[in-house]
Amino acid sequence: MIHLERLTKEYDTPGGKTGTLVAADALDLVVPQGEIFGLVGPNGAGKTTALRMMCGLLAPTAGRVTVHGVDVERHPEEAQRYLGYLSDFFSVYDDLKVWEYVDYFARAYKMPQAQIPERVEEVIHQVGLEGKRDSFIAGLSRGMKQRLGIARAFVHHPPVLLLDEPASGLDPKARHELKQLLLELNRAGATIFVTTHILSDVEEICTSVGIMEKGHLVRCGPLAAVMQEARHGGRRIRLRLAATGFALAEWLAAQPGVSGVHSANANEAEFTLAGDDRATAELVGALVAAGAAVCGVQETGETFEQLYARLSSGETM
Amino acid sequence: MPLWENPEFIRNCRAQLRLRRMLTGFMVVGVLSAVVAYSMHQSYETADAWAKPFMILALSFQLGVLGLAGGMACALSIYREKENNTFDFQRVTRLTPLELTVGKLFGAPVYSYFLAACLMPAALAGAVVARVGAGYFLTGLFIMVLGSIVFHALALLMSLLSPRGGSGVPTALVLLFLPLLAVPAMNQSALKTAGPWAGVVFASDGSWQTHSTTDWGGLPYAASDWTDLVFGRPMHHIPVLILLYLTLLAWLLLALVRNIKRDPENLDLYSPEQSIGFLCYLNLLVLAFYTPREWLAQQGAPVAAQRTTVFLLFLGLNVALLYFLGMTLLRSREQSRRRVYELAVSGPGWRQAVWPAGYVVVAAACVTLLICTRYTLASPLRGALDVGIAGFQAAFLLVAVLRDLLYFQWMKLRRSRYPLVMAVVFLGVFYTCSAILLGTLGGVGAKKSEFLALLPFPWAAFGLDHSQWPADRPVWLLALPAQLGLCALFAWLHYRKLVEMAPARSAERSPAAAAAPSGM
Repeated sequence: MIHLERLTKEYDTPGGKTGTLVAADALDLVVPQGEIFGLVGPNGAGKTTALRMMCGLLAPTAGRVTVHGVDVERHPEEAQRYLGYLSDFFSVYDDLKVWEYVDYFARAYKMPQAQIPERVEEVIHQVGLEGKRDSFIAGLSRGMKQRLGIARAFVHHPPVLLLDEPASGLDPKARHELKQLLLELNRAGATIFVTTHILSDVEEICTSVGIMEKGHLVRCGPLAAVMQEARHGGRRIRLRLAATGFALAEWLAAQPGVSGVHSANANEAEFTLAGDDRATAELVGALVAAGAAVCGVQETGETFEQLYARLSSGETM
Repeated sequence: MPLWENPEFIRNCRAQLRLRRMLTGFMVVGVLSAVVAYSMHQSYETADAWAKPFMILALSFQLGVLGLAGGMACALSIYREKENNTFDFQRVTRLTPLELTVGKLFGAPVYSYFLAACLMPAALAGAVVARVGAGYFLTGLFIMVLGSIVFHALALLMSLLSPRGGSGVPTALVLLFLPLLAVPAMNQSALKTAGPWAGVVFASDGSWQTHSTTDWGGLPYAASDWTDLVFGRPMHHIPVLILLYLTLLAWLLLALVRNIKRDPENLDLYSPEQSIGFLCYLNLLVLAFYTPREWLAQQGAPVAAQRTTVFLLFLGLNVALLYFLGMTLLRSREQSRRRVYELAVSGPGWRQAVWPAGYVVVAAACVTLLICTRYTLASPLRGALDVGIAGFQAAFLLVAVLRDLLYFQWMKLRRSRYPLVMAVVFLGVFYTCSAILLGTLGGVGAKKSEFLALLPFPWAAFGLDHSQWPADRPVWLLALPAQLGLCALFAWLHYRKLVEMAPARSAERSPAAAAAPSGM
């Protein structure tokens, strides 16, 4: 669906200084149909640059992007049939009315003339702007303009949506509605590629994720796999004993496959165990055999937000 | 896609032609027209003498509204969209570059067209009362509108090329080019008024007659205001003007269509081949309308121009045009970097290092062929011209142009916010210092410093005295390889810059690139 091949973008460092800024460094990525792919990373990581190259706004220094097998740079008009794009910082035509704005883009994306009026009404309804249909855009709030921008991005039924920080500027209710809308579009078959700083949203709606740092994709894949990989192949487990008197932390630290032991109190410990369910069962069995009265075993989940914070706080990505 | 279905045109119509705005415009124009008509009617003695001046005034206002207001609207259209961050969304629609260009060309000045239409009753009333023929009136109007469209296309191109943040740049450029609306005939030219003002004049005092004569000194001469000499043959000015406008519009549209949906960092006015075509087109225009004649003090009638005069005229013109062509072909750092990445395996070679010299040489060969063909086939000229020396002179100046272009190309790849501006400043300083030093050493024209002077000032070749050639030949033959040496030096410096940009260095700089995990 979306295919990035050695996608590279180099800039000169600003201010005429020596050195080159590699905003995207030979990115290779395939996003299959039906995914909601979240691209996260700190400011300046190259997310927006990558997105702008994907939709054909920015010419890559090297490499190419194909959408549905169509090269975005060589056949831009054909590629735009499959693409809907929303940038993080955008404006709308203040001198148009809401319906005129949506109608303009429906025409510009060359939808069949007969379908346009119905589609315009449908899209305005989907983004909750039916009450403002005949209002001038100049009078809309920031959030409403954002919703109008989203309406513009999917008015032509694009199978791929590229959204750069779509939730920025939206209030919590509108953000929730946006997530529902994206899920709805995804269920209808759209592949969604979204960059965001709101990591809870990534965990909530994304099926796949990429973490970008200084132009590189340092983690990429299905969300669960990325989180698993970031845990160095292990799972986080919390054990609780019925009584004190057993040196739980020391015992665990001596076991093969166990790492990162952390003991909150004498009869409880949290650690990372390499291996699957069988390894967990064997470890608990050995612990019981050693004389510990195990009363609780829990696999603790780490949120994506926690994982991202852990990775970006110094751990190599 | 018909214009009335063009989304960009529809958007502009919707935004600009709101009922209230239209009514205001209509009422203001209506009241003004009525007041002016009444005032003129009162100030003329006969009943219908006021009509023709009134029609001319109305048509002039129409031209002003179309040219100035429409041109300004076009100049600001793309520029404003870039400033407002709305232009990117037009670039990612399925509109083809031509559709987007046409939508903007007719959409941006749509309110000017409306105001011009509001003035139409006044112009028509004047024409009817003054008994102006419908053919003259409509033809004049057509010329005005077509000329304005050409001007709008020029303004739109300026808007596209204007950098973000340079507020006022497009407006200033439009004002600068505004006199084009009333370009007068040139002294030596066989083309009459070229600006759309010709439409106003034709509507009031036009004629379909063509008159030409060869009586005047035995040279072709257009004896009527509405006759042009095209390659020495008489043709009516109106079809010539229409053809001129259409061809100019085609070149402007080509530049717009090539660039309107491009990444602003990678704008190219024309491809190298198209640039050569444009250069040939400009030469053809001059060849078509230039009548080589001169007036001698002892004769009342003109005589055919000297071969050397014509040669120097075309030499000067084409040195300037080649300079301009070369400057438009210079590659930016971003474009060079892309080219270097494309050549990642083989790396940059001498062909990249001498960019854009190859195309400039081909362009020079093409225009030389055109000019030689024209003056071999027709147009009598006086005197003799030593083809060998003239060829050397042209080649020497061509090398001088290449030297400067290779210097500019090298400088353009330097890290600077405005590298080309700095290059021009440095070159200016170089010329100034050289002039001062040579002046101190004994003057640019002095024999002893002639070779020394030719190094910084190859343009002295314009003044090469053919009669002194045997004596001066050694100096010139030495100066040519010296100029070529400078070309080689700048090409080498350019090559070094290209090597610095090679992707191998980038990989060294960021070893993690190879370790980046592939996607899903």
